[in-house]
Amino acid sequence: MQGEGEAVSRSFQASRWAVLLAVAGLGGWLPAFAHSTAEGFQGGFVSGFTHPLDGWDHVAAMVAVGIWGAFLRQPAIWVLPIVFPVVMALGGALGVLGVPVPLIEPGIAASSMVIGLAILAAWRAPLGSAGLIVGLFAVFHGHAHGAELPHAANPVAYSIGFVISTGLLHLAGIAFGLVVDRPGGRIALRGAGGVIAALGVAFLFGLL
Amino acid sequence: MRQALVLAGTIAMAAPASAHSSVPGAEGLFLALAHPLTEPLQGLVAGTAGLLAARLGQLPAVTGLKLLLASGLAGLVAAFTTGIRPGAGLDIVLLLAAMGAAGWIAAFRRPPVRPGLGLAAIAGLAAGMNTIPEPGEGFAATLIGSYAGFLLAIVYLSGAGVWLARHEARHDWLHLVPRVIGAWIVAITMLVLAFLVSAR
Repeated sequence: MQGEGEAVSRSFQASRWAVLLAVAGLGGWLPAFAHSTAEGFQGGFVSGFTHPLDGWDHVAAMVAVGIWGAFLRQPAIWVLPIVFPVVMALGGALGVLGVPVPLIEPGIAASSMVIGLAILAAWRAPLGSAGLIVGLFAVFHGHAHGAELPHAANPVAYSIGFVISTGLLHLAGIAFGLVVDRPGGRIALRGAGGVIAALGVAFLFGLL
Repeated sequence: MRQALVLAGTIAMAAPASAHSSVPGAEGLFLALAHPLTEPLQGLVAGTAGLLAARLGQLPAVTGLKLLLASGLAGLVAAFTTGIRPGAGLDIVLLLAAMGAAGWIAAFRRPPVRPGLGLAAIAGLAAGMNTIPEPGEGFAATLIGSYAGFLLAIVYLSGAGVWLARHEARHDWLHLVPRVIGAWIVAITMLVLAFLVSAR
């Protein structure tokens, strides 16, 4: 039993390093693409990669999804970051096809607020409820991105960059969320949830 | 895997020599081998097929790769005999096959083998049909190179996936890596499909 515990602990340690390396990779990767044009594979990739990073409302919500997943632990730690990009792409497809979805901007702002509040309140939502909440908000984020997608860019490269960027934002949230087992980690996470919720309120009322 | 490494080594050694070769078609072959890297759709399909082969397990992966090769060749023959050429219709079939395979990877820790092999066959057929280059000088070199590059990419990616799967016993979280990548591929293919449909 103790051996199993050690194995789990080692595995957890390794996963933490993997997440941190992925996030560090994101930071190291971006400058190389900084001077590309919007044409071809590279331009399409850069355009897609930077698109989710353009708005703080998107960034806050995506990081919040990762933090909440880490806070809820297995299996939410990986289910939520899987659900979000898939449903977001569905929303994105609706946006590309011009299918209207109401209340896009309030929905995006509410996503930071609701998920931030869930972290602040340390709400241990059942997996289905958490998936439903995250999936619902993902539609708003996806639609907003989809409606703004530049048709000039290489669509495959654009989509690859867009999804990888979103996934890495989740990973950044998960990396931060892994402090949950450290002394004071829960307080730090709940504080971060409070900040994200406050940002959501500011986005909702147009203060930011 | 060892044979594939030897083959890749040979190509890597030959590459600098052929880069400035005066032999007609050598440039085409060299460039065509890198096709999965320069053509995002082919790279996406190759990556998904490699990942799927690896998730099916080592023995089904070998069967899957043979099936992919056979169905790819069948696709090439079908394209030549029917006159169907690469276009949006084949792109959509390829994307749907990639989406199905990626969803299969994301949904199961140990994906059931038979539907996976079926998806590999569909992907191989569509990829074979979609490989036909524009007619002109270096047609054969481009055709052979791009198809070989496509298969090599799949072999290497499936090898990487099998290597990853072997380490899952020690690091349980590793099974999440292909599943997360699978979900990302589903998202990517969904967006690209929307692009293709909206452009029509």
